[in-house]
Amino acid sequence: MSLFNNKQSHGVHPPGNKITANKKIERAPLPKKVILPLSQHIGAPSKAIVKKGDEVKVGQKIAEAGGFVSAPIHSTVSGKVSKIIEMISSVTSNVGNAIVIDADGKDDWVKLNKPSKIDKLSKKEILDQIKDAGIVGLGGATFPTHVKLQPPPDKKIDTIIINGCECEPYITSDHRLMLEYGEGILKGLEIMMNVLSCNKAYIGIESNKPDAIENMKKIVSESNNSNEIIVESLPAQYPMGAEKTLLKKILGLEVPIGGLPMDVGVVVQNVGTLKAIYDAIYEGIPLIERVVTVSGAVKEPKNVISRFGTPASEIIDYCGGSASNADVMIFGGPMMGIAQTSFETPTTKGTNSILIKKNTKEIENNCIRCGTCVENCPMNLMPLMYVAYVKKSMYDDLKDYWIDNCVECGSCAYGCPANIPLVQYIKVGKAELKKRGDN
Amino acid sequence: MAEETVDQKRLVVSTSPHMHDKKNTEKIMYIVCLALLLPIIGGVYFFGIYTILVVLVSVITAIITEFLAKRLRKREFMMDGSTIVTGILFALVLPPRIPLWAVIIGAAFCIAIVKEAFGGLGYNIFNPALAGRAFITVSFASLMTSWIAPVTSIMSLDSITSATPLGEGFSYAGSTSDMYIELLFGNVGGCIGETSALLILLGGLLLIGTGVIKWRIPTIYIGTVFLLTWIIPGQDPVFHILAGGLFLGAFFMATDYVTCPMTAKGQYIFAFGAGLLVVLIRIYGSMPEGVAFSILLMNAFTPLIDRHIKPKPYGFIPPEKKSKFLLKKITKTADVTDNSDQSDTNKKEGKK
Ligand code: SF4
Ligand code: SF4
Repeated sequence: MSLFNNKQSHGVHPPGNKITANKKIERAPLPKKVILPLSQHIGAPSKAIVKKGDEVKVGQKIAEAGGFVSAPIHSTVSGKVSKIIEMISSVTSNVGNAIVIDADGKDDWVKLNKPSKIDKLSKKEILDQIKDAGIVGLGGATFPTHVKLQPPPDKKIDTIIINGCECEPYITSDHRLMLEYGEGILKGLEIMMNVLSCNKAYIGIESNKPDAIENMKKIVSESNNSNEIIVESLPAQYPMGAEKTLLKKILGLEVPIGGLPMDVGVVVQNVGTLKAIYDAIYEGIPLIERVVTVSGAVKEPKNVISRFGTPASEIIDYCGGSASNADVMIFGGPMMGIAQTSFETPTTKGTNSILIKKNTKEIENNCIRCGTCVENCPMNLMPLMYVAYVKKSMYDDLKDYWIDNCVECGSCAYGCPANIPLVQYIKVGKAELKKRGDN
Repeated sequence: MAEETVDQKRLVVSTSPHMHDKKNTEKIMYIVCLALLLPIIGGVYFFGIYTILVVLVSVITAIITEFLAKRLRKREFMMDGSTIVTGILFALVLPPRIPLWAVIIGAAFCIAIVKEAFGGLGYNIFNPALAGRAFITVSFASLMTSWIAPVTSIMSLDSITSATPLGEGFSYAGSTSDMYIELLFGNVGGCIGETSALLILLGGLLLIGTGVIKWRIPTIYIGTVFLLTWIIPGQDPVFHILAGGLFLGAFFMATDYVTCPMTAKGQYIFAFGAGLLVVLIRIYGSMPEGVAFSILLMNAFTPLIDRHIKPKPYGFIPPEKKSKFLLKKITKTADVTDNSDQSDTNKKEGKK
């Protein structure tokens, strides 16, 4: 196919299971206690600026950015800092500190720093506001947004791609956002275009969300920027929402190996992030909550707005509780999400979904060289080779097959008839190579 | 942190993805068995019920051998269906009146030597059924050259000697088109399961339709044989693709996952090479039929093909093309600038 269409990537078609697509976003009850890890983003962990016993209000900054690639963290409830603990990150499994706050139930907010004249704000002021609001990429990668909006001077950004694909099964948080907060998303996009001095933007949405496509088209056509923003309907194929496949599908460009979208003049941003940018600039509200899809084996699957740091169990209880035989809880979607060790794990900025299910993993068999993994890989890799080399501890050979190019989308393992956990082997291989590189 | 909240439930933690396609090795193998029923039926119809005996003996021997081999290698024995496929395929490439002791020896060889000795499913280099056939051909040459004419009734155990279409003594009395039809339906001498091109094609389409195999190898393989025999003077391309074991080989043997290349490009090379070899062996070689050897030879090349033919990864820019890539980017940027001028004016007009 690639001969005729350079926008085509490989991928898979898992069943969508978007059972919450028609459920309006609801607000979850305020948590009684929040646990806010200091590392909720890619980059340096934040530095706590509160200590045990301090009274805090909603939206109050409780941790400063720990470097350029970092973001501050705000309290998501009002109450008292009960302790600072060590905990294992729900994303990276690294140990880090977390601030525990007992909520007083009053939900007292700090005075919000709401800019008065939005049109008059300079780029620098906008960027500072975004940074101060602790905004990170909400699609799951949690890269600090203010960094993404300040590319090095030699990288001219000419196109912005807004990711509304939501290609992971079950998750509908972005879908609902586009339906219910479309205007906010567009305003966020306008801010972004302004900051990047870029006047071409695409909003990519998978065709299995026709209502979202229609809504965004309508909102864009009524705006001043209807010529510059194009809403694209994309085929529903996993992983369409991966930055690199999305870029290829829309622009027909490939990001060079080891590069970033900005190397081809593109910035990709998730719709949820735009809504957060809008809230920060127009309302002065820092990032303290997000839409989370709760789905799978729960009584009433829902899309809820919940404050960060809420233990998952509280959100699950709000959705009627989980099925008694469920023994897997995933933060994120079923393809790339991370299985959690406990129902008490708090949500973080990157948690777009809580998925409850029954474990269905089967035993691993021999590779039958069927080539399914090769056919499925959106990065055109040969995933089975990673398994062979990791098994034999021949880590250096992994580089001959461009292991770093793997985005860990799981398409290979999804289709493997021998039930080989390819991503697990890939992660082991990458970790081993990294360890060697560090020494 | 969980001291206040009691969390008795143990959660299962594993790497993503947490979802899996319904396809698994066992299902694939059973679909192949299902597709193979068609040529088996053809075998029974044309060569009598003795066929059933050959297939059963072959499959049972294969399973028992696998069981023993796994015992010996201290591995767990699992019925994943691949052994049954090998057993059936081996039976299908034997002459109709092969003695059962030869079937037992051959099937045991397929599993014990060609498959298990190399490390079991997924590690063998050669297609077990074809390697088994080659072994029997070399060891008991006379058995493998005694062909019979199709029987008149299914219950018949007749064995009237007859030549296969590709053999030397073959001649057809009727018109060419009648001959094509006989070849298509399989009413000619030959191995148990290879004579009916039509039934094999149906089985092959079932495999393609269910996504078990891709169209590439069979199409290129058969296509290469057709084109080459079309070009070479004095050859009849239709005859060449219908006669002998080409269809069975193309749909069921050359597509064997384990022994064919993994990438699309590799598969093109593999299938073309096999097609070329068939023509060379048939026309210039000393053997009347070349399908089995063409596939076995290409099996031997598969590791080499897989080592050198890798798909071009996403974002891969060969060093000499880097400049071209930059050029493309610059033109693209220029395009955008053009558009933007326009949209700027639009915007201003809109604001007025
Ligand atoms: S190798 Fe990596 S990029 Fe390719 S399918 Fe597997 S996980 Fe996805
Ligand atoms: S999909 Fe699984 S069985 Fe097939 S080649 Fe890849 S690793 Fe091997």
